[in-house]
Amino acid sequence: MASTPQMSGVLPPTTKPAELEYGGDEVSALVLDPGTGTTRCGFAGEDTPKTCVPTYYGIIPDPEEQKYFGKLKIGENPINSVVDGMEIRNPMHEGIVENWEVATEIWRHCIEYRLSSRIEEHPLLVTEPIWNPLKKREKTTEIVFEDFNAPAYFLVKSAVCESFANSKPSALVVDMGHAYTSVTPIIDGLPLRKGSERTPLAGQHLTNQLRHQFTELGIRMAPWLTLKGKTPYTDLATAPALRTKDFGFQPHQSFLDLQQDRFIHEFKECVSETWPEAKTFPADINNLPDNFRGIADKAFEFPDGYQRRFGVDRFLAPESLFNPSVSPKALTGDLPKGIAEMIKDSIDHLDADIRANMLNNIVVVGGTSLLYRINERLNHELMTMFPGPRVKIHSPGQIPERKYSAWLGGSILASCGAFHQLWISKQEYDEVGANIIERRAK
Amino acid sequence: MSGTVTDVRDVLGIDPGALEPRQPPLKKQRTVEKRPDGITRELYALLGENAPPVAVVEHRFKDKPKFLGSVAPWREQTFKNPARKDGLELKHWVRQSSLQEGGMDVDQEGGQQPLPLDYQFAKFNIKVNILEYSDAEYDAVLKDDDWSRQETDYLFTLIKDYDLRWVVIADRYEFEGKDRTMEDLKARYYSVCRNVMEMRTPVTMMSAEEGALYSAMHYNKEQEVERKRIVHMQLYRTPAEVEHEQHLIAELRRIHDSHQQLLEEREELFNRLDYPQSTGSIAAYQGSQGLATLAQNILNSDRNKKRKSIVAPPGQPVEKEDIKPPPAPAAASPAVSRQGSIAESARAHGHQRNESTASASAATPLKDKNKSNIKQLSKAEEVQYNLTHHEKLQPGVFFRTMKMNLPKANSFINKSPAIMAELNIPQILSMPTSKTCAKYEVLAKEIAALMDIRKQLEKVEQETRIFKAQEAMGGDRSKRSASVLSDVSRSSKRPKKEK
Repeated sequence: MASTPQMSGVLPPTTKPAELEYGGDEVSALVLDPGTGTTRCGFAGEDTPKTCVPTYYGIIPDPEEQKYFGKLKIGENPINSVVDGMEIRNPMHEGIVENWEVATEIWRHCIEYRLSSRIEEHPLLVTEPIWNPLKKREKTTEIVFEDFNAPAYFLVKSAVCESFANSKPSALVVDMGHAYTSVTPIIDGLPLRKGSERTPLAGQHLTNQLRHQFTELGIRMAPWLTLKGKTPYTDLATAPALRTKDFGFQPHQSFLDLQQDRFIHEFKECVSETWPEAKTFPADINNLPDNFRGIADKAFEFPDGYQRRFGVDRFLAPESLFNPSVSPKALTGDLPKGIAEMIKDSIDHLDADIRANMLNNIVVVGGTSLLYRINERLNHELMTMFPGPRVKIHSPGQIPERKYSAWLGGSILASCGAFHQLWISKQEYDEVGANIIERRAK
Repeated sequence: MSGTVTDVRDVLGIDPGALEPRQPPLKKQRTVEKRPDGITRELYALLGENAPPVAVVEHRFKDKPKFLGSVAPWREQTFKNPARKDGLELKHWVRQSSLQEGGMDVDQEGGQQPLPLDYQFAKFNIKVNILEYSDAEYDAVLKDDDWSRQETDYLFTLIKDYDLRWVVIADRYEFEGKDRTMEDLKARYYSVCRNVMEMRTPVTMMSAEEGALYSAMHYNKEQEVERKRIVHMQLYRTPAEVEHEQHLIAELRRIHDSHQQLLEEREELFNRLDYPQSTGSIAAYQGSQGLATLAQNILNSDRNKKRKSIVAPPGQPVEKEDIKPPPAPAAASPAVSRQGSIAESARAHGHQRNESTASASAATPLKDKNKSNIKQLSKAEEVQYNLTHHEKLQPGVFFRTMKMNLPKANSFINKSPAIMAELNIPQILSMPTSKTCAKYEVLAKEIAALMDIRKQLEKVEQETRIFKAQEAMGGDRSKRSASVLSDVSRSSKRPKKEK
């Protein structure tokens, strides 16, 4: 082969680095992991993000205001306080930033207010979904260098971070987040575009399904914030009158929806459960066969005091992640693929040689993957789809690790000594422009 | 015990009173309390002066920790990464002591330290060496109808960018909407490499390393496509196929296990038969055919054994040799193995060649077989091989010269060395074969006889002289002399008889 002179001090390409070599080198970088549900931010080298701010923001519309057309409310407390005329909006759509002005403000809020850090002093690592278009990537670069004036910056795919967080250079990453579930094959830290899949069957979908399910049952969906107190009851027909607070104004519907999401979220955490096997799920849950062996009921109390035991119906919404046709609320448009189906599609797109390796290294992360028994179900479905090769699902046992896997991977990456040659510096940005991101972060 | 201590002191001359150790500690005053009524003795014993179950905690502050030396301060320091061309300066924290090692005093320079020359992680900036071709080389050997120059260049850029990670290269490959599979890309890359290498150095001129690389670059596209197709098939097996495969694997394992068992059993059988250790390899029996042959042999030998017991039924007086069990089918009897070479019989074991003789030898009575097997030697040959027949062999090892039948007469023992020296024959035979020993014996006897005769002759001559002197003196002693004469003749005759 062409013999190019080796740079002195560089390991030869055939030599393996020492086994226990410490690879960390902190440069006090910041890691920002913007998601649709929450924006995670913290210092590189730590094991959990320092702050986790909702990406939902409140706005009191004001046509006079030039930049945002209203007064912004960012952060956990401001968006959950009852303010006259405050609407709740989200600057992201399916993990991609739609409203740059607000997204920038949220990021700035995370770094400057929550972390109390001077943004221009720290290299910044930002994560992005794999389907982030070039325009958006360039815009992010522009914001980081123009608005934030960061000394160095890098944009990394969140799926890559997730595989790193699970100490796997090659993995099939299944990320079940708030707005979408994505499947991304990673080879040696490089994501493959052709095997990447995504679907909106994720946390938000579950919330909408449950909201529909509760509405169908006739449950009053008054959130905690609007109630003075609760009166326990079990019969919807004889429900006592709601003891609502009088704010003197009617809160905006988007605000009420966000508040509803909070107890629905609790329902998801406490009551919802995944049915362990696809084929034994009853076809019609209102008309169960006599010999049906169900799983124990679970009770839940709604904010207004209504107590109800949920049986098979508590499996319905999670079931729709795997089989969208059973969704309580019929999905509009083309029926999306179930998650297991999507993993199969992703595997089918890959080269035959790496399929077995991918099936053996499936990494399941994201908040929605914390649904009880979801990995069991996934494993079962994949084993049925691929009876031959070994299917192995890796999922961090710790809840924060599962929820903040992308951030954690970014934290590992940005504190890694060998990574510091990859940072895009301000100087490089000034020379090349925003397009540098396409050249450097492929 | 105390007695011995005082003894030691006495021996050492120490005044026992002076060095009396410290007073024995005063016995603790046991306060005997009267056991109250209504409480059992055992329970009361437990209540007694037992140590409290909780440790007594002293109320005081923790000791101040003892640090070894002063704390090494850490400094935030800027550094440059030699792998970067833009000279980005990042900051990391470095221990002060390691800074001072480099001969820099941080305190005086006030934070503006010179940058360390080498960044420790720069060594991981590894690039894969990718072949590069020139325009001339491209025009000479790399032209291809399917591949344009631009596309080839694009392929090589991708290869360099992704360090030959073919999965990623095939994933990112986008050139004018062309649909290229990974095999297409690989085939092009390897053909380019081979062509360029061949052009630079002809195959015959290549060094071993280059030659190995050149042959490693050979890429068979059809074979790869076929291989991937098989991999795909293997991956998408139906559950039934998987089950069938598992069944087959289990069956294979079973066969393998039983094969192993068979090998072990055979080994055990060999040991039991006290078979001479085979030095040859058992490769001949590894295959199924070899095993079948072996099994057949074992079976045959078993059958022969049984047949033999029928030939010599119990009750019939059997010859002594027949009582001994035949040790091995091939090594039919100790006589045979003594006669023929052991190694040969060992080699012959299990082969068809020997089978017939083995069965034949077992079928016929052993004695006959021995006779037929012993080669009848002629007299000349017996002499040649020094074969002797003895009525009775003396046990033990001995020298032949020790057993020679030599005359015991004192005169012989005294005189023989001189005579032997005169005859130029050594006292001890240098080559005591049975023949020379026999000759030596004859010689010794003749010498002894001659010596005897000479002695008698001297005697007779002496008496003759006496008689002559007596005759001269008087004739009345003639009767006595006659008796002496007869004695002389008798003694002179004796050795002649022995000859």
